[in-house]
Amino acid sequence: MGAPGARAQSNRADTASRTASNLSLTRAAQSTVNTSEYLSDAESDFGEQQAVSIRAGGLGAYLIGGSGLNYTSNPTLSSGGGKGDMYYFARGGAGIHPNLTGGLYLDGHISEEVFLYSRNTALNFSHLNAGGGLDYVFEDLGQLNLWVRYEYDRYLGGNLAEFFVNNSLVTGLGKEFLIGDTMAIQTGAQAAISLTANPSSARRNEYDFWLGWRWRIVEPLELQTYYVVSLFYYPEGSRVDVTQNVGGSLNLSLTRWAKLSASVGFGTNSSTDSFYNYTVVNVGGTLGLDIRF
Amino acid sequence: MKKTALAFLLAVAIPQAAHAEPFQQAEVTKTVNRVSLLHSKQAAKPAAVGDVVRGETAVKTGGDSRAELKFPDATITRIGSNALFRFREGGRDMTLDGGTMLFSAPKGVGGGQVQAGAITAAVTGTSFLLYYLVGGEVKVVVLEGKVLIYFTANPKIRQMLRAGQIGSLPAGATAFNPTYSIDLKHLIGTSRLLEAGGFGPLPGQALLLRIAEGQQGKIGKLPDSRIQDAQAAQTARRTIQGNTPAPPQPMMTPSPRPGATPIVPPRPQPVVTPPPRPTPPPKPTPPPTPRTGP
Repeated sequence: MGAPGARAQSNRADTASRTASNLSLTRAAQSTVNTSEYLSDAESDFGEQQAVSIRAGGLGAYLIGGSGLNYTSNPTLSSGGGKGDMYYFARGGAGIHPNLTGGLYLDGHISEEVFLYSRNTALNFSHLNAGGGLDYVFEDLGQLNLWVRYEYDRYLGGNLAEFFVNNSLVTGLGKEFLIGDTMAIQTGAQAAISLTANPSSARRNEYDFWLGWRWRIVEPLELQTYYVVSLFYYPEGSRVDVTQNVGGSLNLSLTRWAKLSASVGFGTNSSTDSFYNYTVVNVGGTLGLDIRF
Repeated sequence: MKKTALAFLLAVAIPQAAHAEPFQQAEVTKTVNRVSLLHSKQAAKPAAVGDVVRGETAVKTGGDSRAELKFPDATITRIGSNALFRFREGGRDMTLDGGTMLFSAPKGVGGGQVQAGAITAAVTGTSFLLYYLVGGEVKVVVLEGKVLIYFTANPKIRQMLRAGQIGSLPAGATAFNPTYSIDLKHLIGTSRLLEAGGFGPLPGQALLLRIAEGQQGKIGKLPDSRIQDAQAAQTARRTIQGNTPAPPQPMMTPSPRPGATPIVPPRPQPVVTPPPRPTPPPKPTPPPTPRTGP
């Protein structure tokens, strides 16, 4: 409390003397004010204060979209490294996030994304994700978020033949620690337990831990870096993979709902079955849309 | 609760810059409805845009009235209805005797305190709104940056507020209410000390909106899910194909089509050595069957 306390001490005497000399002025100023009018005006001037936790009052609907061109050094994720390839990516989706009560929110979302490879066309796929659940924001804990969701994921190959479906129960928590006005550290953990999958040989439980750093360099430009470590457990065969991803993106906000991103990432996977070991580098640019209603 | 307890001094303070320039004068840059300048030795006169306000002059607003003052260092104060505002010339102290005000100062220009009977506020590179009901509640909402609020009479009773948080002190209370986050986007859209009140955008208003927008979003998983989604899909493919028994190899391998690429490099198949076939035990020679005579 040192600095403000000292200033307070030093200003107190001055305040007292000025308060006395201005008391009549103040009384004169306030004497003509009707109390109810005063209150009403003050509230209007100040603005409406809706607690975030009881803010919604609506669906909290949003639309997302994105498109970009990327390079991956190892499109097949083969242990031998593979040959690099370009891929085009597009995504569209929608969701709702209405407030139920207090810090409790309902989440519902659906998205579809398409990956089209330049040379390895047999790797093309589309991914449908739909899910829903509950989010809880702990206001007293610095907006710590806790979520529990059900997620459905369906993957189709380039020929639109389904090659993997997964149903999972996801729970996690995340928090952002503000560092001044322009920086924040993000951290979180999430577990995704696969309930059923087809084919079952690819069924896996996922445990993620992440750490991020966000820096708003100047108003429209932001740097985001991250490190994510994921542990995958395959119940069939007891295989365990540990995947680590580190990367960053430079994001330029074009409008409140559109941003351009240039990103780079490095990933590595270590498996109890060396066939699944790989390293991969990804570089790309994306135009993303996020429209909130 | 003693009457004097009502006269608590709430301080909103942020560390001052090392070489903060003191306030000497401010210019009236906007008036809405009834705004007057009160001088201790002169009669009150209506304020007009361009008027220069010095330390011995107070700015008073009537009902449904507002005013904006700009200091040479680009610090902006906006005063709401039924307020009386003044500053101390040669210092960085301001005074609000009831009503509401907005304080916005660019970073690096210095800090100070705003005082008003029961309220004191100071800011550096921070924007906040202050509400003081004479004899009643005090509220502070931080729009940007951090603000420390404390009882001037007892600085140990304090609260640190961050952007989006509201701190409040009910009349006569000896402790602050718990802080909570409010919807900044909604506040910015409804406060008459901002654009809703006919004022222009604050310097850095875009930043304010970004902070407000950030409140609307969920703190979810980190970005670049695109990369992880591709990894998930190709790993699933590789796992499925790696677990699928290799089909029998045809005798004649057709020449591959140009450009055709196998989805997943074939998993090396282990060489299977058939287990040694057990040698059947020697058949016991059946005993000779006694020939039976006819």
